[in-house]
Amino acid sequence: MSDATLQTLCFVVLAAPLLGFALQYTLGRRLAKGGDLLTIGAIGASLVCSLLIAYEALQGGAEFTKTFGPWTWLQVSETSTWTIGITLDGLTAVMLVVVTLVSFLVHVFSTAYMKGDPKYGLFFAWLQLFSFSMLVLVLANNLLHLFMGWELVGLCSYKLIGFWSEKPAPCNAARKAFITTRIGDLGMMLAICILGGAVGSFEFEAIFAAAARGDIAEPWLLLAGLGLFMAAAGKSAQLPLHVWLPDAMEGPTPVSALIHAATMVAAGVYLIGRMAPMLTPDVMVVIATVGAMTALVAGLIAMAQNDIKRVLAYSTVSQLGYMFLGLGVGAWHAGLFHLTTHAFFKALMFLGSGSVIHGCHHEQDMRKMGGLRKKMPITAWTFLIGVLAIAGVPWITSGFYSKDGILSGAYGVNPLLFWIGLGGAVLTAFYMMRLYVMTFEGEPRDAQVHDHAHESPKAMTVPLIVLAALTLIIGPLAWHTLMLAPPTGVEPAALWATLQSLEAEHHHAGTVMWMAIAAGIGGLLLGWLVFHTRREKLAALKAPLAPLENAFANKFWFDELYDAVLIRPAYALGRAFKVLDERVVDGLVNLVGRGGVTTGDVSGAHDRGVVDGLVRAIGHACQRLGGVFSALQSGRVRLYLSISVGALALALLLEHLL
Amino acid sequence: MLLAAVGLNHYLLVGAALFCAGLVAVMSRRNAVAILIGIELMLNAANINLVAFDHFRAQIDGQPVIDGQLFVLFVLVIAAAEAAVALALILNVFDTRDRIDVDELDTLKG
Amino acid sequence: MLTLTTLVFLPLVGMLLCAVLPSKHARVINIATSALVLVVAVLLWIRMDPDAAGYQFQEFAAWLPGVVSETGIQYYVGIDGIGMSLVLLTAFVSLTAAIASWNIEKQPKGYHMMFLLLLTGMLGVFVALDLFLFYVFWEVMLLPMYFLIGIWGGPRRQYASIKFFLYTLFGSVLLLAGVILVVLKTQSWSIPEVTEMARNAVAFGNTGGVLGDSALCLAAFIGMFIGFAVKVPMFPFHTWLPDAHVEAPTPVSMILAGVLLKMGGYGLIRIAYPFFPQAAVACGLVISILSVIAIVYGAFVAMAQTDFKRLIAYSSVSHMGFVTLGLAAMTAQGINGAMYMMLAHGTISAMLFMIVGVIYDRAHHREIAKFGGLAWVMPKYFILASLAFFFSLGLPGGSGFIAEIVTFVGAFAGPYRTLAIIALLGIVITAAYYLRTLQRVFLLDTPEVYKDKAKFPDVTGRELAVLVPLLVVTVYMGIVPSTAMDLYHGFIHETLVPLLEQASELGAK
Repeated sequence: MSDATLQTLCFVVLAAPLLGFALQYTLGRRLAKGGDLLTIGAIGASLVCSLLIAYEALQGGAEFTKTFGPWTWLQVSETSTWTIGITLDGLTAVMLVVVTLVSFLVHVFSTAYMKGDPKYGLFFAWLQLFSFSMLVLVLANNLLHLFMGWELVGLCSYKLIGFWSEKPAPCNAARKAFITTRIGDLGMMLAICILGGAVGSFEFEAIFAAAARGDIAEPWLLLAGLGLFMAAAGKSAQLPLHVWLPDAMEGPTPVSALIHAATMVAAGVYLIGRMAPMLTPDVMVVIATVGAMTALVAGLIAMAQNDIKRVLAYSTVSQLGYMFLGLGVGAWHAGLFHLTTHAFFKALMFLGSGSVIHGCHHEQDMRKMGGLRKKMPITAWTFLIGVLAIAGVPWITSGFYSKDGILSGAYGVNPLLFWIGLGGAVLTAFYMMRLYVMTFEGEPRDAQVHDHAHESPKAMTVPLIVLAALTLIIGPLAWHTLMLAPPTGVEPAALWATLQSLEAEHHHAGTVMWMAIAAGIGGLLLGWLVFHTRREKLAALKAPLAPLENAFANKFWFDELYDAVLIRPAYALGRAFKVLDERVVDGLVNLVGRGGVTTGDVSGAHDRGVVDGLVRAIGHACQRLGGVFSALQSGRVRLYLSISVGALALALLLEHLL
Repeated sequence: MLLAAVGLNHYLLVGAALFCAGLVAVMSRRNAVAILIGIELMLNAANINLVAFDHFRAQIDGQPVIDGQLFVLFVLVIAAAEAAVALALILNVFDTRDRIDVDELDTLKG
Repeated sequence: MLTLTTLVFLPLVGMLLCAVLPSKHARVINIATSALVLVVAVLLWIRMDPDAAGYQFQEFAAWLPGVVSETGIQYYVGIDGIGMSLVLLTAFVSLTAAIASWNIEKQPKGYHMMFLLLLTGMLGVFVALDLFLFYVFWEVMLLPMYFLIGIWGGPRRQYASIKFFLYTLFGSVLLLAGVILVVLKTQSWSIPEVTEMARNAVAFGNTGGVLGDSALCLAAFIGMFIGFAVKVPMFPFHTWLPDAHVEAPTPVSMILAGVLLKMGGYGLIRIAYPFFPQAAVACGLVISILSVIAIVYGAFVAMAQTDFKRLIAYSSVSHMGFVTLGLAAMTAQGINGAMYMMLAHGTISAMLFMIVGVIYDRAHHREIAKFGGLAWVMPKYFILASLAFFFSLGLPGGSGFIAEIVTFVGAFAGPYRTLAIIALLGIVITAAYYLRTLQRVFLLDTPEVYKDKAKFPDVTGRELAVLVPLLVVTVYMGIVPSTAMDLYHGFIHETLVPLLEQASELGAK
């Protein structure tokens, strides 16, 4: 395939969903069936092109790298020009397929799930834009270009999580998602600032080259790496920015599937995978540690949730933690592979839960379910495959390969993190089994829900079957053949060496593999035992753990903490600043104004009283004097004469005396 | 002898007394005619002085002097004219007001 | 005929027409004149030589010869990329505001005359190259604005208009003092000449010469800076803005936010910074700190507002903080970003004020808490409003994104990195208050009052005619940023940045 063809394919991949969005947004309501066919067609076209690209990449092998562009976008200084462009390599190809495939299946699923919703058409429009944003992000050949896709992903997540925006909960969840991820974006902005200044370009190649040459001063490189991870932690819901993801379950279930599998949360992992060559060892340690902690904490929280989607949400947080653990310990390969496998089995489980919710008429509480396997066999069996995959049941499920890769990577680098990860693996298997058992096995707990439950239509079950199949085959098929190669550019030596040694180690890490298998199977068995076979003893078993369960159920009070430490103080600060602005800053202005007026009054009074007063005083004096003298002018001759005489006499007297 | 004993001062005293009498009349009387009479008295007091000065001046100079006497004549003529005018005024006032009390004639009051 | 003089005085012709024709024609004349001005501006833009350095379309005419120098005060106009981009913005925003003025009922004749007079003043400021002429236009624009707020404003219009007038006049006085000092020291009224002198002074390391590094120059710079900062408006000189905006009628708010605020930034770029590069370097830290305060503090205050329009006004304070932040960094990216922020904010804020105006026309109040669920009643309005909100908070695809990124990169490349990092906080708070407002006004349940379709119709054609062009330009500038940036960066790259760099080198010595 020629480069020109590849480039055209890339454009089609991007253009199809964008066009789909534009048409659907403007004309969707007028199209037949609300326009869902149009959007499915658009994403389908994207999927086909992606598969072609992936095929080409597979042919090209690990060396496959193509760059289209860069096209000049804007010149920000005489020496610095910002560009946009497309890069194609193994990682991109895999991501393209994952994104378009999952998105396609979610589209199909939604035709049934969203049926009858008044905003049916709009939903598809936003799904299109969501996919488009993610594709922009994946295809970008520079950080700024990637950031644009990144932010658009944020917008779409806001729109889709808050799709039912008549109700407060989805609105708040959407807002929380947007703002939390935007807090993470601060890190991205910081990285962009640092790299934009130090490198003058955002192209990955240029950044990696500059980092390798040491053009970026050490502390700033570290800070840029941490900034990128902060952004990734926001988007991919890592501690301490994970709080938005469980709340995002307020969105329609297909959206959850999309967010958790192919878009949004995958973006963070992809970012770190993409930028790996510029991350310093210190950053890697931070990434691995945060990842491991998240895997454990989210796993603990998941054990005590009763909402079927929330359990899945925390399991996603936990699995994302694994991916970061993998990336952080240098198991780059495994981390991104886990992203891929997870995309399929998590999409499977989310769509499965959607099917359950649909079948149970929008009941999400697992405590009201149970025994649904007989009512919804396809959903139940496919779901079970998902559960086995996430638990890492060996050889047949894809989850085994990727998780094992991560754990063996961690084992070689940091035993502590390995043990945490292993603990998380037990937890994962345990709570996923709990979820499965509570939903599909045992006796129905709520007769009404159970009686009305039904298997979902084909539009929903077919995607489940496809995903289940992928979940099973992708692992064995892909582990060695998939063209995941670290991005081109210059690798920091340390990372590269680790990577090589891990590759070698993996094949010999039998111990780790058996430990992982034991953890997975053990967790599953334990879950089965506790929640199915020995269910009657559950209450007694749980009693001593009540405080712990309380902590898990309350999600370790992260939300309450943030509310008290961040949100309330922020609003309070806003109000305080408002008062400050009105009273002090503006008060000062008004004071000056009032001072002016007062000065005016005073000088006016002075002018009237003193300056003009003097003039008037003279006049007054004259008038008074005139009054006095006019009294003399009595018109009486005799008086005049008397005065004259008196005056004469006085004059004479004076003359005499003097 | 008697004449020699009477000096200038005596004339002046008489003149002064006469003048004062006239002045008092003018100042104290409200009747316009009485005032006119007072004025005549004062004029004549002046005349006495003039004549007296004329006389004693002639004695000092040793030759006749007529200046004072001439003044007196003028005064008499003017006094006559003045009296005529004054009486005409008074008559007019009397015609308009039926009285000749000068205190009531204060239309020139300021 | 295609000259700057035609451009600047065209509105005056319109104003005269308004005066003689019956008042029912006034609004048509206003729109026609504004449209014509835009056409002339675009034609000039097309005819402008993109590669030529310096000012184009220059015109001279003797005015008051012999004042201070031999040539004295001249009628001297000319334009470069910076002026051109702002002239285009002015003409464009004015046209949309003129359309938005369609339903002014009260004394329409006077209103439209004042509007056109204002347009002349604004255009004049951007093309004047004589300091005196600049000052005259600067003041000319003040008067119609005073009347537009004072007569056609809301309940507290008197307070607001007097505050606006006095505050800006206070700034003008300081500006005038600076101008007088410059003219006395350089014996020239010409802006390019003085810039050239400043360049020579810095280039030859002359620290004590004409416009050198003296305390007097520092004082003059500070005076001018405050004069322009009041207009920007920069913290702590910003409090006239919320009052003026809240009281001004919608189109006047659009002009005020869209164009008037830009004059402050323009003055800084064209006059204060090039004339006194050394003083600008010396004041960099203070200006940066104030900018960061404006960004973060403005955003916080906006978050606490209960009045929709006041909120938008404070968001302006916050966004205009980027302009001064970018300038104070004294890097090419920073100043380019500052300039871009002015253009971006010009269209976006005009759009936001129109959005507020639309709902105020219908509901007759602006209390955020009393709204709700408007999205279900007025869906098109909701789409436009949310787009405006998102573009304002820096969504890619809108011009605000480019402006923020370029400014941040520039500020970070400058001497005050820490401050740039603190300023980043502003974008989170901005997102917080916009989304909160979006939710409280447009989402959730609709109160009964707003369900009346007759009283709350969706946006009308006329309102669309205002909003859609603004939106289109915003998106265009977000996707093809080079059109605007290539237009104006000549002066920044060739004159301003070298000047400031040399000045900071001198300062370092």
